[in-house]
Amino acid sequence: MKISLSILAGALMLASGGAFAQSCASPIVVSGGTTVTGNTCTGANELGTVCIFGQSPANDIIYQINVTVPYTATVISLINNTPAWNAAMELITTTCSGNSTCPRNADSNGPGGNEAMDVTGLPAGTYFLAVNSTNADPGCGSYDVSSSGGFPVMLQSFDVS
Amino acid sequence: MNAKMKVLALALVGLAGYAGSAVAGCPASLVPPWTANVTGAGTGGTATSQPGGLEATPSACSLVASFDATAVAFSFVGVVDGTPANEPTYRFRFYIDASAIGAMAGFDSVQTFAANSAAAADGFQNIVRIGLIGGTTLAVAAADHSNPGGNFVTVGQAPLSAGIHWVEGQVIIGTPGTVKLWIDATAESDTPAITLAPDNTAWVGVDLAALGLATPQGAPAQTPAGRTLKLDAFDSRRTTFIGQ
Repeated sequence: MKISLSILAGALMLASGGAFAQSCASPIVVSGGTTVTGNTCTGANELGTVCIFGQSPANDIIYQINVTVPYTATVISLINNTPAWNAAMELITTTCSGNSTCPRNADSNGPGGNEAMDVTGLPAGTYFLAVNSTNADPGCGSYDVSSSGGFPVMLQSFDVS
Repeated sequence: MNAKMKVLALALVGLAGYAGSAVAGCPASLVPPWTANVTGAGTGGTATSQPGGLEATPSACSLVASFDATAVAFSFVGVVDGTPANEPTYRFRFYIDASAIGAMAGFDSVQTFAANSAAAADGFQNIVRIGLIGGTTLAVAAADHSNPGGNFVTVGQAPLSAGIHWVEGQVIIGTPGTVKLWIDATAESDTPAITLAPDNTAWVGVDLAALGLATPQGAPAQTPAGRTLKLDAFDSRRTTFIGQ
């Protein structure tokens, strides 16, 4: 019997965090429900422009969220483990690019502060969650990201033979 | 003027003119003819079509972009035009009324217009950004590969007095390229308020434009709620001066 377990693989990546490629081309697919750990100091500055206007000289860690409606997630929270780092998160629509719009952002606090992103009311679609630094800030740091509730996991592939 | 851009210009001038009214004859949605928009709950503010045009011959409605208390450094509310296609020459024009932006300290700023490349060069995509500094200065940040000490950006500033103004810009890709900004000019021969000659060849051309209220910096980041810009009559072309 062969079972394609892409969903299980995704869940395992979610749990283990930052050991995988975390770029626009190979984002970590997350669906909530567990905590992801990461460190932007180990990433690369892939998105120098974010949300069309924003200047982002900092490294980015990229996650993919496949939103289907309804979902239970309400807030994505970032716990900042680096006192000098001014963390930020942007939720990017459709395409992981600096020219894509961002229906949600989280950057309310300064260096060392945690961030929270309200993710209620999102239309269904593919989103990319970028973890980086506040506008024009090249800093980096480590973090834990979690969500209250989750996004339903879409069945990507499954076959039994 | 290229036919495609002419169609675009007509469409964009008609921002407030198409059918489907919600507020005193203004459109209920900003979607057509724009390729995207950012507005509504959770986005950091609102961008809506409201009564009161800004043109010399007033149109019925204008784009009103406002931050709310949830706005943060990367917030943008407004409209996006994705129809440019790596344009090596690009003209744009819009009316602006910053009277409701609120008190801003000298180095506080918001952004209102961006013309971006399809791909990043020197790490970013903003060929041109236009912002409002301190509430009374219009600033242009132009991509410039020859200025690594300035994060590959060259900046020009011009005073913006109170009231309604129309702003026209020109971007020519080259080494050096040309970035010009006119304020309330009536002819191309009028002296631009800002003239820059950046090396922007690496950015290839304008592939996307956005207009609205974005990236509050300084005090607005802490107290963004209620900051408002009124914009109207966006127009873009490849080559010719647009005028009022």
